[in-house]
Amino acid sequence: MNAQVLSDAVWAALAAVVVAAVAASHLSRLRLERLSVVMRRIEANRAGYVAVLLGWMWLGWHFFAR
Amino acid sequence: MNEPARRRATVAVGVAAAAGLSSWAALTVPFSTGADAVTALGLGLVTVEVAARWHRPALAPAGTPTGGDGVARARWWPWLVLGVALVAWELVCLFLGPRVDHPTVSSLYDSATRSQVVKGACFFAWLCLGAALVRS
Repeated sequence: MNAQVLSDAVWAALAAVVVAAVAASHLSRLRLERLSVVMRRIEANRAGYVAVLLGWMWLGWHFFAR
Repeated sequence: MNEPARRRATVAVGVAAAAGLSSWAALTVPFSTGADAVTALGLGLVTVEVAARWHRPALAPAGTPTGGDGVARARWWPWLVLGVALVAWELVCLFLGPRVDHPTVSSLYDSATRSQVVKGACFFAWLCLGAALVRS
């Protein structure tokens, strides 16, 4: 297995885990907090909200402008 | 115009504006004036809305069991573990190089957005995230 295939496989596995976690968080018996709730907890703190906002700004500038 | 109708009209205008900006963004290339302008416009719109609502009290976290009422609290730490794993693999790829063998999120994005439709969809999703931040 070459390095490129391995890297792609790891990215694919991580993406699959994220999708599975989002799905699992909607099943109450698994007791995994929903991502939206986690984000809202972070944003309830003003410093956390500013950090999330700055992260969103950086994301846009990095991917779309630069 | 009553409140629900005004709300629906605001959402419709917002979606139309986001679709227009996304179509424009899809036609731009990075490091160009057009790309800077469309991104700055999206940033500016969200920043103005955030500033206008700055003194509103933040929404309380949605009702999840707190643990104090005999119901087990939902776990948040798996999200932290997942975030750390993503950042760690991004850093591994960043420092291992070359990009063709160890693509970072940025290089994966560059490959995906050779399609203008995908690029427009990514920009639209970014604007939706910004709108969600405004509502917080």
